[in-house]
Amino acid sequence: MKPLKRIRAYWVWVVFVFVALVLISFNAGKRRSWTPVEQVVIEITAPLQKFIRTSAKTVEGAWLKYFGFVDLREENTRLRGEIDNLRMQNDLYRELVSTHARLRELLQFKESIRSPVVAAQVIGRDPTGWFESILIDKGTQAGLRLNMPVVDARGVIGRLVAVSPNYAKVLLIIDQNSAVDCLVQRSREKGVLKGLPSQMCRLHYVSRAADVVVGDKIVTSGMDRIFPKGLPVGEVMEVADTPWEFFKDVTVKPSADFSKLEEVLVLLKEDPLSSPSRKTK
Amino acid sequence: MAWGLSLIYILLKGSVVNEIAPVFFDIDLVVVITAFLLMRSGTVGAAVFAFGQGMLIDLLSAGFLGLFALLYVLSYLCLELGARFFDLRSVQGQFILVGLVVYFRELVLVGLLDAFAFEVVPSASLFFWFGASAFFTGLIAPLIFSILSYVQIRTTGEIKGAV
Repeated sequence: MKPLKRIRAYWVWVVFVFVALVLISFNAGKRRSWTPVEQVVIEITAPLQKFIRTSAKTVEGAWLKYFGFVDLREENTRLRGEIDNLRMQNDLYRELVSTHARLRELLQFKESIRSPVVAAQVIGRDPTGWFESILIDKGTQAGLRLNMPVVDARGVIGRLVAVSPNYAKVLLIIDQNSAVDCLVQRSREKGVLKGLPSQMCRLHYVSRAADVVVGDKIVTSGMDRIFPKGLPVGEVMEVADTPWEFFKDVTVKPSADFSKLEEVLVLLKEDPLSSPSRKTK
Repeated sequence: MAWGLSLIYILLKGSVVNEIAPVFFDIDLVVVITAFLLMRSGTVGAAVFAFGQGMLIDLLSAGFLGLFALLYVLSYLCLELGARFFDLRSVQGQFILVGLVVYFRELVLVGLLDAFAFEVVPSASLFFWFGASAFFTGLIAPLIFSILSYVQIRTTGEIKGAV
């Protein structure tokens, strides 16, 4: 009986490894949206993630407030109560002002873009820590489709790589699997922007003769047909010119602050990678 | 219970934990719960759990679909093999085996990422954080085992009581 049990244990392992390997083989190097079954899983888990994020923010706020009050212990109860009230009002006011400023920036940015946009809230980040993606609270029901560009007031954030009816996954430009066709704004030199492990990016395929200096602004070229031309992407931080290399090593600091993403804008434009005109060409 | 706990932890990692913890520091609750299920529910339950949680992480992350499913199934195999040398019912066994498997999982992940042309810079700090992840995951393993055992006993008792 025992050997039979052992064989069964190995079969279980073999079957799951086989399934996982098949999945990797079919999906490595490809970007595909969630399947209907996966969409159901996301539709169930994403509200929970939203709830957890909101709760965590509330707890964080309460915790910070607690530390703020520790120094006031020796003051009398009336003053403490008053300070408590004022501080809460102040926090609320600051939060409103900061939200207002963010939304005003977004609105100004929205007005500068010709295509219609949908604003979405960030409800989660990549759970692995190895990849760079976010989950947003808008999906196909709000008009979102695969490969739509995502931006914020500072510049390009990423593009949609999976969508369900109410949620979508955004691959950030700082992910190593991301690639954005870009231009150096001043000299119009071209390159492909890819993510680096340290929340920075590298502009690939910039020839050694190219005119690129530290401080140059990088914008989208529009050549990849995903991002509209001229969106700010980042600023050149470092340019290395190694004699035996074909290309310059250009490090770019993204315009957007990816550690503080809260609201983003999705540009509603047709998925260029699935349009019939592209297929016939 | 195990599925729910692990799901909440994965969502927490995507919401809060990864924002405050160092990038490569990863307390791996999935491995701990897989070890618990291997001890209590047997091989099939543990394998299905490991595969399912890996798939969920794959769905939520921007990696390749199947990557974490494969990683956790491999972790499950290591637990299965390691359980012949370390007693998962003892605190020491839980600490050592879970810690070793977490370290192994991190190394395999780096290997797989490298195979998929993902740029990972092997450095002393990277391996330090892997070690710290393994150590602290091993450290909390006996606690999680106790909590899950307690909940399982209570739940089973309640079910028996109801019948």
